[in-house]
Amino acid sequence: MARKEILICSGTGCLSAGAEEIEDKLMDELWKHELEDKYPVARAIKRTGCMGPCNLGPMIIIRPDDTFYGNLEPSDVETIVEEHLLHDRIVRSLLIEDDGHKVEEFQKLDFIKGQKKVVMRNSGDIDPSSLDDYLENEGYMAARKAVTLMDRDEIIEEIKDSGLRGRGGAGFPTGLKWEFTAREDEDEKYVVCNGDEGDPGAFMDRSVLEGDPHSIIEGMMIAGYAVGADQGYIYVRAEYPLAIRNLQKGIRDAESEGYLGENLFNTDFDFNVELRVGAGAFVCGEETALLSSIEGKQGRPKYRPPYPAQSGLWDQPTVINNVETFANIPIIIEKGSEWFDDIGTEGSSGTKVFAVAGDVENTGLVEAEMGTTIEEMIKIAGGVAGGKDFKAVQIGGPAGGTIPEEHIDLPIDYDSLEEAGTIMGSGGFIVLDEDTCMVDVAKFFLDFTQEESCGKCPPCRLGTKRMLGILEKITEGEGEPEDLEKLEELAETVQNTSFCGLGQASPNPVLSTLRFFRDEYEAHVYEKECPTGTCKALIAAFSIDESLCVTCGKCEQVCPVDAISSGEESYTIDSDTCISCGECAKVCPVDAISEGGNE
Amino acid sequence: MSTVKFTVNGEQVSAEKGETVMSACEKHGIEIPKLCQHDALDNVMACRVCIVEVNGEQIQPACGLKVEKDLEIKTETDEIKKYRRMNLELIYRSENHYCMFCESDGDCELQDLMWENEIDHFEHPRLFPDRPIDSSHESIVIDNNRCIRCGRCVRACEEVVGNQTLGFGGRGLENEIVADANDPLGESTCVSCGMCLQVCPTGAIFNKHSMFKGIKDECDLTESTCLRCSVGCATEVYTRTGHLVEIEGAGTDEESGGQLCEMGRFDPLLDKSETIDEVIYKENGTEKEMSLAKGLEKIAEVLDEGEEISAMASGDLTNEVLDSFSDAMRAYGALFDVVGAKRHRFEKEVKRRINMIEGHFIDDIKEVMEADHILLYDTSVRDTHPVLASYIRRAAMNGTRLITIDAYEDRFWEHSDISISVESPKTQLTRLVNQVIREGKGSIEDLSRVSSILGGLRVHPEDVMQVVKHLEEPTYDIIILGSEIIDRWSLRHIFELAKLEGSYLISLNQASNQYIRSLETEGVYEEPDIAYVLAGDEDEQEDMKNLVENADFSIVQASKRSQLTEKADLIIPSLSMFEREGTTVNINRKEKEVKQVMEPKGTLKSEKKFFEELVKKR
Repeated sequence: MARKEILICSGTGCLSAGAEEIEDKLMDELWKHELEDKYPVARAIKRTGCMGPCNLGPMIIIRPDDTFYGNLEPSDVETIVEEHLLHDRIVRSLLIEDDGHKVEEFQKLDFIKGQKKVVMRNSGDIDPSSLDDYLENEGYMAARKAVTLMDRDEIIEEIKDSGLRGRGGAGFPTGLKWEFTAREDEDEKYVVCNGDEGDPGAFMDRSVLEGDPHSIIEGMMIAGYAVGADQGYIYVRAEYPLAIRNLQKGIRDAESEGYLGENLFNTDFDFNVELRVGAGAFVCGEETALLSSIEGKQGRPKYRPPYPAQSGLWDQPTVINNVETFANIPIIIEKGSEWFDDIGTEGSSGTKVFAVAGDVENTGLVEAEMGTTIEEMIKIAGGVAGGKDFKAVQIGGPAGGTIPEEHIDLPIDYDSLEEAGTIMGSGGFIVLDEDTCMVDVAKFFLDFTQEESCGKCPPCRLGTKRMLGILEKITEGEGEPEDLEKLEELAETVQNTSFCGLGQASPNPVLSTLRFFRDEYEAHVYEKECPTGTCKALIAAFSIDESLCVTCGKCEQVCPVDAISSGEESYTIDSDTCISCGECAKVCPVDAISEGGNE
Repeated sequence: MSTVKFTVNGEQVSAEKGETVMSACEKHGIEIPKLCQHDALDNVMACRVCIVEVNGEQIQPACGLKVEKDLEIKTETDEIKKYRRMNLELIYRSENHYCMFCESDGDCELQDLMWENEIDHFEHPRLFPDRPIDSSHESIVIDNNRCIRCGRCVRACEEVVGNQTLGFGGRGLENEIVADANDPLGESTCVSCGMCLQVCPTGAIFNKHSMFKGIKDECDLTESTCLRCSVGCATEVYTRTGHLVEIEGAGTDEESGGQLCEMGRFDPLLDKSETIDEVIYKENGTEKEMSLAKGLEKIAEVLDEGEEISAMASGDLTNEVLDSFSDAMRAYGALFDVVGAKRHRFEKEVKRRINMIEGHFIDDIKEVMEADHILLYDTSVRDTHPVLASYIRRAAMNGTRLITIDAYEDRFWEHSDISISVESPKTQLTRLVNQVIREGKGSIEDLSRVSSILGGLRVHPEDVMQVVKHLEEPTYDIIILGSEIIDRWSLRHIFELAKLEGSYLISLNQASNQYIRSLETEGVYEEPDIAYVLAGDEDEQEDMKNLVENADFSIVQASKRSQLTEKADLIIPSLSMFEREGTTVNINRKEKEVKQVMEPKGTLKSEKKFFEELVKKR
């Protein structure tokens, strides 16, 4: 019997789903069965970073067979240990089902099959707090190769040839950025990693930082060598405690093992990395605001030019890249630009990690080849949840836009997305089903951006607030015909005259929903109707058809506001108290309850 | 400087390379509307009102965009006008901009732009956030309800005053101007210079003592020089029907860059002391008014009888008044001194003894911002010369190492790299520093040696060694000597130190008018028969008070009642600083004009004439 290894996903998602409890239980069971020799404590269970299919957490993989168990309860652990570990029998009842059939191996999950792991190559596979584990997986080989065998221009050429574009959202060619900084004739230069991931629902960067911190350090080191910088800063938000912990450990380990510090790889190249923790202001994801924040100033964007590549941190030339961008660097150096360029499309090489959320069967992190279509992405995520119809997908977070059903075959790459009126952004991918109100979606994102505006310029600080006001008016059924025009005018002003990218992009969710779903807006304004029944103010109170009511009382139990009371023949709903949530109608066994209805 | 040609609204314009489009346009008479841009401050491109069209495609703020060859700029396209108006409306409708109920109605840059852009009806309802008003400060009110978040005040506080009291707090609609960590301004680190309210384009920050007294356009404006300290800031004094309304700094002024301090900006507005309009003679404890002619006769009579006469003038008077007063007093055989002149006489003596050349003295206080090290001896400069203090803070913020030595509290504690406080007489410390340098040269690493030189002084030897090390570096070092030091030994030690280390010196003086350097003065009788004191507008000086107290008969000439006039036997009216006309010499040895702001109220109309008459009476 081959020695087994247990991997337990210890990403933030699984930890909150109860991974630690599962781990404790596993340890107990191993002890109980006197398996501690076979599974010496230090190596018994490997805590990995995010494995990806977050809604299946807590989850474990048992090697060498890669057997995958998800959605575990502590009570399942006993069975797994007894059956699988002791008797080498797969516990079929605990396997995850895809389309009705049980999947044994992790790699064969539909969710994993369609993916291409480049950035997430180590996450979910190695123990992120172990430098040894990283080294066993070719860690720091790329940096060694770059520093000892390649000269600066060669590295920059390699990155340029790979076609890698910035994963922070705007997609600027990374090699070109490095070249600008390398060309600057200054002694002090810096490399900065932007880990201020702020889009609602996005956690790609967090997962990479948590699951594979050394790959970021290595990527930054290669950048530092290429542009002539010996100091790097990683900026992470305080809301990512696990990422911070793993990075701190990673930096300390790398320092003590000589992978950071002076004379790296026995050359005259020095490189150090410091961690800077931000307070979670969305605007600090904007590069100039982030640099101000590192300098200890208020996180407010600065005018460009000069760009950070020429004058960044403390006015010195600075390469600033996103987490995911840096994660791509070591593997490009290791496998070569051609290998990387072959992945993806012509204008967008490589992969992109998306945080897939919303109305899909399986939410979580999906790393897909550039050019994967929206439809394929949804398929990876197990399709629209509950068998409902697909309506649209919101890509790119608060700065992105919404793509409707008719473009479901759109390949996801920088240029196609831009053409469709959205951006790659940092990788938000929210699937919306037929029950989603698009006005409500726009309102959600605008509510976020107006609150996160740094307040520096009026269009962003005040324009977004005004737009939100109009959207609120519309969803409350008070929309006036001229409101749509006002909304567009405001959007245009905010887009064209805001100071930084945050402001300029903030009307995108409104503009793209207006472009593809104008009829929905119009229904709200002219018909005072929310076609999907989302906007409560536009729905009449529910009522019960006395002739059908069987006085079972189920409706009374589910009503969250106690609007339902029992009568002699039938239950009744107090229309003043009713908030039109529709819960009663869902539970009524005889369909006696309807909106408006029997008045 | 190379020039670049580009077009604005189809017209060819040439500008200097590196210049912004806004500045180039303004030089050619093309006005671009703006709110956050201010010539004294860095451009932050925040207000989005100065937007222009670039090469028919982009929209950029003119205050941030640098000129480039063949750039095509359009400032008034339909699109630009539309966006500009939208942004103005957003600004105007989002806070409490009810002009008719605002202190700055008529003095408001936002209001002007609303007029110019003919925005008289609105698309959007008024938001009314109802933010608390901060009126905790004695003179300055901050009303965030009228704030447009242009950040001029924040920049002025940091960039000009070097103080960093004001900042932004909160995000989005919660974004507001706050003092320190959202403290009431009156309890903050504010130095009360009022630069914030001077640059505020709206009624968000205003002067309590000037409010509702009149809009600037309806006031008379006099450009003058402040006589509160020897920096001699250029002032713009607004009056209305002969009453003081507001005092501002002149942006064109080289010394101050538009700054004023609490003394120059607020104190004159706060001064409510009783003025002296007539000659008053005290007889058996009662005051009797007298005509000016009678007063003259009385003075002549008294002075003629006196054997030992001491005359002392304030250092805050004009050259002309000092000259004519000195002439008159010498005509009567009096000894003549000016407050602050003693320090000059001592300095002269020290310089002669140690053979020190004038080259060590700097005549541009802004030079402190270029220094590598500043040794500030006596930190009272924060209160006596606040504008110079702002340059010291700015220097420290930009990397100059600041070393402070003071007998009391270090008033630059937030900025000093080394702060040495001495409880013992100051002379000892200066001697000490010198001694360490002389005896310890080459062996200053030896701590015990330094300690032995330090003897019983309660000073950390490490600190002194650091000071010595810094000054020994071949860098540009400036020693600033506060005005409170008036003992010869200290002066000697510090001057020697400067000579030894090749440092430069700025020597401050109590007197605001440095004309006293060239005026002949001498020590006066301490207990004279007769004392004649010509006071200025400053608070009473010790020297003057002592003189009046110790004289058998005292004449005090002043514009307002004070402790001096209380004790005087004969009180003569003088002009106040706003009634006087003449010249003054500031710390940079530059002659500056003092203009008459208001007509003299009392019977005395010209001091010069008065003293000439007095001479004739002899």
